[in-house]
Amino acid sequence: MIAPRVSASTSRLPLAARVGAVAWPSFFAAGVATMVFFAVVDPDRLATITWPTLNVSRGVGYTLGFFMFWVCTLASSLFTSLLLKPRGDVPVDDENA
Amino acid sequence: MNERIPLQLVDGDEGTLYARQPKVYPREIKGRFQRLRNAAVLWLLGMFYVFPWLNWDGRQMVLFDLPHRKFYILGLTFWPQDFFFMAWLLIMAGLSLFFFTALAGRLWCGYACPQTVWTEAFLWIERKIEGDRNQRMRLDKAPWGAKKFARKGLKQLAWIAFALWTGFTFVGFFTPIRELAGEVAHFDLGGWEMFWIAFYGFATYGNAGFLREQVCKYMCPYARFQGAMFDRDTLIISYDEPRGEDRGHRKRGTPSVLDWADKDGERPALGDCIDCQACVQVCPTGIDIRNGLQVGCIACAACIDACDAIMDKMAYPRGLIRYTTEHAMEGKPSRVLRVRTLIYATVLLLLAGAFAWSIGHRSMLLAEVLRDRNALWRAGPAGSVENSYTLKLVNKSDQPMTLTLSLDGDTPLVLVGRQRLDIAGGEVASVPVTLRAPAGSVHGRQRVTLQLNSTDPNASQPVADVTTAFFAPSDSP
Repeated sequence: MIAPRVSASTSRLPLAARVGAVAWPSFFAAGVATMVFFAVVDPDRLATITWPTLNVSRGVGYTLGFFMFWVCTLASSLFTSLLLKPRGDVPVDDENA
Repeated sequence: MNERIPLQLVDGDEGTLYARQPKVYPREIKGRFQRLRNAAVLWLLGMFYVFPWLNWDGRQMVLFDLPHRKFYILGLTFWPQDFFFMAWLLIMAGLSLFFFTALAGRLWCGYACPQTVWTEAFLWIERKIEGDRNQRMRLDKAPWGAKKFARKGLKQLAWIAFALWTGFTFVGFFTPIRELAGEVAHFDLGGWEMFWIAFYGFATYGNAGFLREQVCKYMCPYARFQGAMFDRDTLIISYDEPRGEDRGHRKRGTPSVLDWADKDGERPALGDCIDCQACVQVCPTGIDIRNGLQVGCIACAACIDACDAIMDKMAYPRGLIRYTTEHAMEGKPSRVLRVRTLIYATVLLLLAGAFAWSIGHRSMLLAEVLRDRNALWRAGPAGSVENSYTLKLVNKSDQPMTLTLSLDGDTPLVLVGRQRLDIAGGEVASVPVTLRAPAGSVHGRQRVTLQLNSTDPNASQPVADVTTAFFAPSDSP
């Protein structure tokens, strides 16, 4: 008996959807993380205990912090999307399985 | 015996399951719900673009002053230590989303979501420059020529200008917008300000000009989980299938099925849907509402207005597509008051009340005490023992404060040095404090509480106490 595989692979989604599924949640998570982190930590004081020789203003600190968080969350989202890609040698579970 | 069943593997064909989405050209439509939506768009965008320019007590009314780590909202000043309020506010926002979704479905999506609001604004610009739906479709099909180039170029220019203005306003919420405007006028913009204006502008342009309904369909988490807040009494936009089907074209003057008087006779073959496609053409996400409730429906009610206009033209009663509930469609009564809405409303009211109360009663003084790290204790005059501390005081208000420092409770310790403290509005003060224990009065570790009282006899606030430890050598050396 042939069981047609009806679960579509994620690669069928439009490009915007695939990029968005990685970029958007990571952007959102980075925004929340930045907010919580800098509510507690003053970037000025963080700068003095890390690289005091560099002149890092608060504005730059926030920006760097946000992008650092975003790089982390983006990498994680990308990793997840990679692991969720269907593999040829592993049968895909569908409702019939 | 064994019949062959023709089976086809659908997996192999490119784009069978996810058909390439054709570009959506939403047609403009007038009607009562669109007037409501336009009002919402104007109100929300107005708040966004105008608020940073308004002043309150000589200061920007809404300013999230990140460089100085202070938020000014309507005359209230918030410090990073007040972050708790923001988290609380976000919880309340989430809960009200639940409440309104349970009550009336995706109100948020249709009327208030920034994605919808800015998409409407970008669509408006597109319509002004490229014309109505048919003109836009024709323009896209037409070969590239001077006219098409001029139209498309003008639209892009207008979009980019609007997006940059949006980015500028966004940054204006974080750095004083009047200063920012001066910097822009003198081409003296800081690198990071420029970067954020461009970044936010680009995000606006990409989301509202380019991605549009794809954000709702593929990226929005709310679209995926909003169904959990729905029940059979939730307002949804629905096509009245029993009334509408079978759909089809008909001669003008054919009466509505609702007027079909002879209940014993056979129902006319044609329902009230004349299959004019108006509801499909106006849909900003390009769905056909007649296929039932779908995740792509952002509940903008454009199809209701479109269908109502057609029903008016046909002299049929309105409401072939309408706001209704599943219970109403089954002919059962719908209830607004029900366990789900009552629970959401109660929790929301409690949270809001507690929020307002704590904003009104929040302490304007923040006090913290740090022990001197260099020595546990030192010998004072006449065999006494002294400990030193740094008292960190933050005056969160804009008015100067005068405080008196005292020791709480019954303790042999005495305060050395000044006990009257003046702190300017918004100042963060570090006050050295020394405590002295007379000879032999204290051994080992002892808890001690410093109390701060206002000198103003009328004010019970601000009072703060901070507890720390006092160390003295133990009995037996």
